Amino acid sequence: MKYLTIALAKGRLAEISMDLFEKIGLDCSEMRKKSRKLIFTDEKNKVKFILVKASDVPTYVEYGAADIGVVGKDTLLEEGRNLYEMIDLGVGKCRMCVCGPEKMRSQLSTTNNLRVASKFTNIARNYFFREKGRTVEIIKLHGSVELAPLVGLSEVIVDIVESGKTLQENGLCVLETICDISARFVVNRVSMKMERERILEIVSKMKAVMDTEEG
Amino acid sequence: MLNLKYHTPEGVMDYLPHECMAKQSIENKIAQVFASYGYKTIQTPAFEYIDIYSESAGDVSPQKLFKFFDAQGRTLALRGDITTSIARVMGTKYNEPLPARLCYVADAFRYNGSASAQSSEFTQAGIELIGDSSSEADAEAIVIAINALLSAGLDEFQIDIGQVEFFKGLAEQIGLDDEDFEKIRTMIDFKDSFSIEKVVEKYDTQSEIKQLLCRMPYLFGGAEVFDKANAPSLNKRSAAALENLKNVYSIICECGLEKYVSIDLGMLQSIDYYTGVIFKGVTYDVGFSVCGGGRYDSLIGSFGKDMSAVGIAIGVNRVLSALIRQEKPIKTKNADAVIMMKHDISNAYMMATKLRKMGFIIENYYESDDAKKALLFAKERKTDIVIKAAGENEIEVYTEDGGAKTLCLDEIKEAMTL
Repeated sequence: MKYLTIALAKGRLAEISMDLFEKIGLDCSEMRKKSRKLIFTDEKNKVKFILVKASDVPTYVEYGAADIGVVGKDTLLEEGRNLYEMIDLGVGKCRMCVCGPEKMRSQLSTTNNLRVASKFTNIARNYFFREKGRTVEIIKLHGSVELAPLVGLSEVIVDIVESGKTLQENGLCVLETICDISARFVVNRVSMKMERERILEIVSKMKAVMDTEEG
Repeated sequence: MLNLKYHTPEGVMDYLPHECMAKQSIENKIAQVFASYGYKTIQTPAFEYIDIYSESAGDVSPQKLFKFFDAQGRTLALRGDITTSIARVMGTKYNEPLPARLCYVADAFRYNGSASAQSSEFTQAGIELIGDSSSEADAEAIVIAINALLSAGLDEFQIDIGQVEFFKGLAEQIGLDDEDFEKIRTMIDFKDSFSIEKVVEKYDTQSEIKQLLCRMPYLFGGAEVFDKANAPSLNKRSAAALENLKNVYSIICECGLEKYVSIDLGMLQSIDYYTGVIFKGVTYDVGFSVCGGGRYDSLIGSFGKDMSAVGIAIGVNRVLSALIRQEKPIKTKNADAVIMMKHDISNAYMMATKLRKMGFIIENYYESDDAKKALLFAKERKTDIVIKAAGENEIEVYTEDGGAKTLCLDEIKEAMTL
């Protein structure tokens, strides 16, 4: 039997994913031990886990280097890869929002040459250009995006909002919600066909776990 | 400084001799299968007026094509596939009897943006069966694709067969508006059943049809799919699609090829283009499909004559990657022998010509009259035998272990065939 490879997004989402995979009977113990390894094997079930940067999960899965991945909808929207998005895992919930100082609320739709800073430039571009039909300037940042409106780099930002605490502490607020975000269970299009039974078994067990947790 | 003269542009690559030989051997094997079913080769130009793609969407939409201008300033495009060109030929100038069976092995070109796993220049080997709208024709295209992949050396692969009319029928019955049609098409194509429910909720139709739509992402697998997809309240369009797919599947089973095919009603890419069955072939170790095709009954009509057509194209470069990654042997041929030319070029030429006419590959060696040096030259080229013309029909043969013997023409034939 071939190994199934599952790509997890490093960080908190990996922890949540491990809980889910353990509930359906996969062995994540090797991964739980803190180490610098990047590949972990469950010999009994012939499954390999790999730990990669969140934004790389869709890439590994699209190319078939991983058969399955668990990753946030934000990353999927940003990367726009061609995958099967089989399950909304309902964890890691947050929102993708347009944020800025309160005074921007009234000016958002009127400001000419609006500057938008974001880590998620594709999502920001799609939202402003396609959905709102507005031409804006998109500025790519890699972190601490909240800083941009404070120092005059941009009028607003597009970013993930969980509790809103970081925004509040920096005098910003949510101006518009673009979409809801949660973790998704994604599958490579070829793997789904070549390993149909094994993958569908994981999918149905995963759904069952989610149903019992909701109920 | 980046000096571009040392580089190939992004998306294209060189094939060095051994890679080229492997690729050509695959192309030849596939072409032989096509020919053995009576398909005749057709050649169309490497570029066309962009206008032939004006109604194309998806893979060959104008924005994905390499564009340039002719002397009159008209826009040209490197061909994005071969099927569109063949459709142009069929609609404008083909006067031979139908059905027409045409095939090709040719390069096509597309910008591939972020999905750089696909290169911008790629070789397609494909067939088109034009003027036959039967299920038998659909099945023939799939059967030929299976045999072509087998003959190329793949054995573990699967061809998924879908039918776009099934979805179109359900959408019609529910009365989906254009926006929701596209939304749901994408969701089914991404196998995201959860989101479909939310969109369909607002429509007021029989729940049986709604439920079927929500289940579409999971309508894939073996023959059991036909039962799962069947419902008494299906409209004509969906029912006919299902019937067509059943027929195609059963013909393939009768040919004893069922282990290579499976059904996927949720396969819904390029559905503006396809009008019936669609197929996609996948194998291990390549995350992308290795072949694809389907029925496109309206394309040729846009060039002036209504004709039904079904076709399939195999991505030769991807088949090659798959064979390499699956460590399947690809036969490549080195020279059968190296001939020493220096001592007597006239006699050596005569002898080499005789052997070449027999079908052997003989590489010339001019540099020295020293058998050891010639053996080294041969070894570097993965050839074991060095020969030297000795008389009219006699050849001295040198092998790596230092041995030398004189053989006549018939004997050398045997030695090289081994």
